[in-house]
Amino acid sequence: MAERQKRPEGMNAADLSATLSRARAGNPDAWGEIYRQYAAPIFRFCRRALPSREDAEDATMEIFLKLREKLGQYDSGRPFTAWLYKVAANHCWDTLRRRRVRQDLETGELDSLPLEHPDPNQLQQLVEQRTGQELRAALARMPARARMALVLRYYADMSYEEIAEALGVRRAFVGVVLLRARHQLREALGQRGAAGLAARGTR
Amino acid sequence: MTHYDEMTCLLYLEGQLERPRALELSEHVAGCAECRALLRALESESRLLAQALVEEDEAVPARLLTPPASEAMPWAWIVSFGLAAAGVYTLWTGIVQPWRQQLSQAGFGEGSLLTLLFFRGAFWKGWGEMANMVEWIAVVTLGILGVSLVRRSWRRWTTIAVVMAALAAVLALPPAAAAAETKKAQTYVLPKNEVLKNDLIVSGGTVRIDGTVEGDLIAFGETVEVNGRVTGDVIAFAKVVEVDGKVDGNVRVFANSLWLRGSVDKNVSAFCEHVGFKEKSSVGGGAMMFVADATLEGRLGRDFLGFIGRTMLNGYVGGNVALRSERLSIGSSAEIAGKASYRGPHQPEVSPQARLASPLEVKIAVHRPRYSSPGYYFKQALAWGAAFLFGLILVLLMPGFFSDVVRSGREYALAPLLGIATLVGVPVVAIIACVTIVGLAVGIGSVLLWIIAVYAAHIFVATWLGERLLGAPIGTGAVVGRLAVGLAVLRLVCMLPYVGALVKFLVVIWGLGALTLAIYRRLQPSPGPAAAVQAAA
Repeated sequence: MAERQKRPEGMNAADLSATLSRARAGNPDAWGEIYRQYAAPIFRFCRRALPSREDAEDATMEIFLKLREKLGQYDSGRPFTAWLYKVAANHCWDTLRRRRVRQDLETGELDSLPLEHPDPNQLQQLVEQRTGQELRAALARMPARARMALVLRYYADMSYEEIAEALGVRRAFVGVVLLRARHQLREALGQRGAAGLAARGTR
Repeated sequence: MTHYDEMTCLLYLEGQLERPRALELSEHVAGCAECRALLRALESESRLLAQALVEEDEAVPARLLTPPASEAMPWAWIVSFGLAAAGVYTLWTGIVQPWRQQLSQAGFGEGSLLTLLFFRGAFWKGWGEMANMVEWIAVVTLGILGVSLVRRSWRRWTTIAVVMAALAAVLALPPAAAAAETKKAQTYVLPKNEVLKNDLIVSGGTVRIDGTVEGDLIAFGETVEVNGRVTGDVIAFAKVVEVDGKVDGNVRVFANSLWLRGSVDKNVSAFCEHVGFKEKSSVGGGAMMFVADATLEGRLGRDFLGFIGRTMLNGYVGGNVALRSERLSIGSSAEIAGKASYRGPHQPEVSPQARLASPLEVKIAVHRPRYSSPGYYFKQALAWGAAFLFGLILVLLMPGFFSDVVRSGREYALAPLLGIATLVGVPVVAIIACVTIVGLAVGIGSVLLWIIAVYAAHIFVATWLGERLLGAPIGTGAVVGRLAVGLAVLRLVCMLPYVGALVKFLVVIWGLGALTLAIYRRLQPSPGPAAAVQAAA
């Protein structure tokens, strides 16, 4: 498979805008094309953002139902994927909030704690030793907001403004959320040593 | 030499620092190996993150390969609504109305069924208002339902609206009636010749009224005896209740045994094991009984209505007799002025000397569904409609909570256990609440909620079943579809002989458990998605 772009773009801009305007006019084939193009990235996004595979499947379908309804509101001057991920992020965040994962959503107390300054060499080592699979497993064990922030930034490639909007935090706070999330990730990665691998092996 | 902190380094890498500060940092880094190392490590981390997140580790599920169909299926909705409405209408005209008629004949008239539940005017003079209020709330709820159907976006506000409506209702309730006289003693005796000009609430081991109570008597005790006179109603929760004196109002008894030798001007209702209306007793109104063993030897002015294990009728009944009973025998001194009907598994014994105004109408009904009659299937379909309507209201009013409950049902071990606990525990707690007079409203309220929950249990299980059969739902329309299919399948299974009863029981405890679990989780902060992931895996 060809190397993916950082933000999964799919079609080229001209094709996309033509397809979009056909879809907005109510053409089901055009909508199907958009769906085929973006369902997989959105599913993967939801898979990263939500706790279980079932949730991600449900969310993907719900997001596309929403997108279809909202297609008229899409401002064609803005990049389509940004809008797509915005809708997806809002939906996933709503889902998590509705589930009332209060403990992880409100990390207010945690946020004010000072972070320990990392040793660059140790960090480098940790990062080099871990595989993508291990990192995804560690992500799954993180609190929802931290995980969501990382996914929004490093998968959906959202700007700080967009993340602030999606998570409902102040723009100036996004950096703190991201840094804190990285610390939590490092901790999860660090724990995930032999014990984590052994647990995996038994399955 | 001071170094830059991690936050600043991250913001620098992400291009979020203002230009002068970014320049400052890059200058510093040129000469500082430590900060350079940190920047490099952070950048590697970003790269690992981006790479790991984009990597495909699992295939896109098959059900996502085609775009989800729009959930708009107006014809299905119209059919569902039609069926549900028909179900409700027929339930009302076929079951509720005739019952109301029968009840009003038995002396529970003047108003609605709620009077039966709350014994209007007995405990609290405000129950009548409350009944109106309940109707009002029902109308408001229906209104909200209508609006939420028209405007989806309204859904978020429904919860608030319902809460506000309930609050308004509570505020609008009239204050409780003037306090009654309350007594508590091991043995309470109202002496002869003494007159109490107030309602009397007593609890004690033995309660004996030899004097006169000018008001209602509400008694909790092991033995309650009325030898004197009560001008209002008598409501008694006791082991043995004996009425030898005179009661001008109604007598409502929850007891092991009720013995009546005196007179009651209005009606008697009994929820007892044994009831005996002795030879000299007289009741001006009717009698309604849920009793294991009843003997009627005295005079009854109006109708006799009963669900009774074994009935012995050997007195006078001024009105109609309608009995569902295991066995019935009508003795030689019996006289019935109205119509008499009996329904039960055994042929009643009727003495030839008994004077009946019209022949006894007998329906031998063995308690078994009659699979051959089309009416049975029609009724099943109507019950399906009613359950569907109820489920529909639940889904539309609280979609999030509904799916939570269905999700909780997937805990196949925990949910049924919790269900058993709820099934048994709530009534016990409610009874305890009722006995401590203060908690009466709470007790009755929780029993009502419990009844609703028991009924709702099969709706959640049906939705789960529908999901099993048709796959996980997307959107409200799909949930409603699964609900309809699940209910239909469940109803079919419950129609099976023997197995059906077992299935019904399992469904109730399972659904009730799921409901309890979901409510519990709503009240508790959840352990978070990490635990959820492990549970799912």
